[in-house]
Amino acid sequence: MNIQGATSDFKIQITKTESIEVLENLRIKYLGRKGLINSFIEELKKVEIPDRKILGPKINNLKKYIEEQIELKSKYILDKDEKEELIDITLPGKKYPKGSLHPTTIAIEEISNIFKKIGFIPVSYPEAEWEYFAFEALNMPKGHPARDDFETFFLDEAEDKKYGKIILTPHTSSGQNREMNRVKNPPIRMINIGKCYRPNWDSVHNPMFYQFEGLCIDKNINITNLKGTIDYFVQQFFSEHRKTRLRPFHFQFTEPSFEIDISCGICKGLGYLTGGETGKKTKCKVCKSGWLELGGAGMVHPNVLKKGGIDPNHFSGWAFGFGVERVYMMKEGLMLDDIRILYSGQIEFLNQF
Amino acid sequence: MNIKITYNWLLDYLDTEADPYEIQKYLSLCGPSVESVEKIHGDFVFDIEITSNRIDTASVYGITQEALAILPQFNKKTFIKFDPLKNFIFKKIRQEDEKKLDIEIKDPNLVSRISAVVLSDVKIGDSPKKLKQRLLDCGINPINNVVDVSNYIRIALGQPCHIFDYDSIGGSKMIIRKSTKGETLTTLDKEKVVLPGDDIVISDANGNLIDQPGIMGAFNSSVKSDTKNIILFVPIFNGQMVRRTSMLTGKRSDSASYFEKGLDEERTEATLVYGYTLLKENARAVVSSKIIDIYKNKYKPRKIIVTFSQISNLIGQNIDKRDTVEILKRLGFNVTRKKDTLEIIIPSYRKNDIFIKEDVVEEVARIFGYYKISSNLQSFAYVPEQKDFQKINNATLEIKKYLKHIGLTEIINNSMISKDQIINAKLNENDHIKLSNPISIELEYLRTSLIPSLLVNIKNNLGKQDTMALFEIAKTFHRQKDDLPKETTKLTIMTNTNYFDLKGIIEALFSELNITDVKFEEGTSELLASKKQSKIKINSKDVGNLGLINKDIRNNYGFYKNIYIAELDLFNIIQESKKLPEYKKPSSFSTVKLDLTVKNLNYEDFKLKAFANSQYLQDIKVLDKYQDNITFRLFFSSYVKNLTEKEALKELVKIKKEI
Repeated sequence: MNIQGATSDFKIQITKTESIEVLENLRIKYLGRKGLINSFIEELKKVEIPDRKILGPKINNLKKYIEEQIELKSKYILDKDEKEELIDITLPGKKYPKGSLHPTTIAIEEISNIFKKIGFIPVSYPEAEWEYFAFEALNMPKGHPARDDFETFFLDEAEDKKYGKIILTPHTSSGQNREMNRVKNPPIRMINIGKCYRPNWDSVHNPMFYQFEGLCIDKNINITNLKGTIDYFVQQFFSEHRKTRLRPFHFQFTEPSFEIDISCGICKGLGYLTGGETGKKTKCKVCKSGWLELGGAGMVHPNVLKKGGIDPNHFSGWAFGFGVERVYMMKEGLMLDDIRILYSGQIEFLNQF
Repeated sequence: MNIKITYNWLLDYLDTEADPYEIQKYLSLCGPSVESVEKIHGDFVFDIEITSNRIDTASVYGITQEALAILPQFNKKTFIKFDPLKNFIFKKIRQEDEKKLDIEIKDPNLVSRISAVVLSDVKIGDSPKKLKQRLLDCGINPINNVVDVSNYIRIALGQPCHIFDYDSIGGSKMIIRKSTKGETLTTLDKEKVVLPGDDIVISDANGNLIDQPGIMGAFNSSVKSDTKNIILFVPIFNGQMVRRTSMLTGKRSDSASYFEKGLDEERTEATLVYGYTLLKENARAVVSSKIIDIYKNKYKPRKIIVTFSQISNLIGQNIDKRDTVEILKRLGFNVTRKKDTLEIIIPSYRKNDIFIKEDVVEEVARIFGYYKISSNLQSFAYVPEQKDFQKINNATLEIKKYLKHIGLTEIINNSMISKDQIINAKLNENDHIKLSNPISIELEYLRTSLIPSLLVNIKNNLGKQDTMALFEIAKTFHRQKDDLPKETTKLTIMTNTNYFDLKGIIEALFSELNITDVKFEEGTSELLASKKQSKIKINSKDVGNLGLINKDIRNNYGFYKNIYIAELDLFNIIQESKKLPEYKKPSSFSTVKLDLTVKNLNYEDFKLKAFANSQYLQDIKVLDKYQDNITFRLFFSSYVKNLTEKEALKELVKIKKEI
């Protein structure tokens, strides 16, 4: 048990110590569970009692001394760190992983939260759907020219006698009849967000796209309620700078029917862009004269209510169907002018979200 | 469909204070949407969207009728200047009996009215400049002074007509009948059309088909440069039949898009007389036959009864009763008011669009102005949700966000893939549902797995980023007998790192979802390398696979890095997930940590045996892997006492013995 030697060893070592990590190792070496001080205490047990009385306080003093020195040194190192060590504060920090959510996912979450607040429940219905739910149930019997407005992909599968062919649903409205069948008795407050498919492929159309469909059926539902809901949505989702307008339109499954437009976010409602080195005006390729169609809406047609087993004499309702990408493309700040990029899997694009 | 008309043409019929831009604005707010106004050489061209139920508005006259109803609502005085329906009547034609024309209708279902007349001594040439210019402005190429008239009156009045070369019709006879399958004719554009059968056709006395009715004229009876005598032919064909033939033969035309939407029988008279008037002026045509007018079932005006309160209930606010009546009258309805009830007579040109009282409410509301209707949210109501949907919906979003936060990129791909993609991913083409009308071979089959899409994503992004970790969540489609395809939502993750990186992602995700009973067993997927794959089980239920892609697939895509895939059934995972973990009480006694290095051993086996042989073992961590050596750190503690190092070492010896 060389207390003297241990003391001078420690003094030499602590003088050389310049970092917290080395200091910690020193602490373990002397004060740790298997450290020098503990080994002295073990040895002490074997020493005769009189010697023990002399050695005991010495060991104790050494222990205190080491503790004090380590604390002092620790303060010294930390203070020095604060005062003296120069760092380039502009260097980047440690990199943590950053992934990305698809912009459509972000849009869907935002939309469904907006509607949840006013009591609309999200639902999910088939993407590969019977023709019946997309057309017949929506007051568009076989051969009706209105079906042309919803160009449709057909699947090369067997036809059903009652429900017709299997299609890729061209709109979320196919969920209307399904939701009436599920709930049976109004009230109905549905928000159906899902993939839809139509055979178009250009800067504003991808063959697969998302729609969100609102359906509200109850006693005394009227046009002011539809307007109230659309206004609420537009106020929540877009900025106050954006204008909307309701125009007359026609859908077989609503009466009256409306088309809802929002002023274009790319050309700021002008219908043209001024740009390039020449400063020439070029037609905005996204909108029509400064307006972009958000989508259709209307009061649920009595025939549609009847097909869903709901008595149009007691209940009325409204419905709307908007394109998720469309409303997202129109969002302030995003300035997205080609919908196809969303589903092209380019990580340089996606990683920005 | 869209039509183009010009402002000056509109002023042939209309007197209004509104300028072209006001017309655009007000019509768009209350009626047909005027998508653009283009100023050209002293006139303005309106491009107007016509909704499929309002084919009656697809003409200069139709827009006139709408303007008469709408513009006064904005305090723009608007009157009819010249009404072609009142002016172009049969009486204006002096009939002759010099040339005969025989029209026989075999089936009254094919055609509801035909008005026709033979005109002679036409001089084929150019149309007058003004007429040609108007056609050009409206997007139609002028051809000659006869054909141009048929296009001109269609735009003016919305009723297509056809002009035949009288002398090329055998026996001066037209027989309107149903076709038999396989009959052929050559249309004006010199295309041979094979008829599907049960189409409307017109043949002459010699049995030659002389027209594809409602769609396009036949070449054999068309007006040519030496044509002398013509038939001006204004029919109302059965719209559904025209549509069917047009769809089945793939022949579309302006005319077909009018007929198929249902036209007004009452308008053939004005169309015939207006057509004759123009042919007389432009081609010096003279009448040489009697007017043929076959019209069996005259339109019986429909009557709709609606109360003011029904109107205000559906709109949600009161509209002045006198205004309501005014609006309906301006729209051309005959209205009788009896106290609070309105009896409304629907004119023939609205017979295909106004059937029920809701249709009348729409008319009142739109002319009143949707923009003026107030805005009120409906009251709240509770509706029960689809079973488990909330849990699935919330968990799906949580999963997406978690994967994003640990560095993965979410991808959404088209649900359809190509045959090449199926083959390159070593999947079976027969398992895939095919589209019968794909728009591209790139998008021909519905996915049964998200792997083919993600492989393409990796390929397209090669070299853009050193490490890639992508995921997609989407439905896959699986054929079922006598039912819709089964839609299974899959979560697929793909990385270009290594097996343990991907496994780590999955373990971290499961831990986030508080899924505990997870096993990775030897897998058998053909898509994956046989020695580097596993089957993932939660509570002994298969939830998916994980592993290195098989080298054939790697070669198919020319990858120069190994690609790792995991494909999981999302709903199975969500079912096993818990909102909160099972709470485990922290031990208040000390923990002894001991390290152990072993060679050549299966971790799963080791874990099972270790826990089975020590009651104090709480946890095992892998410290280090080097070649065949693995160093574990074992954590021993007790819930009732402080464990000594000796006791822990004894436990370690027990474990060592078993392995």
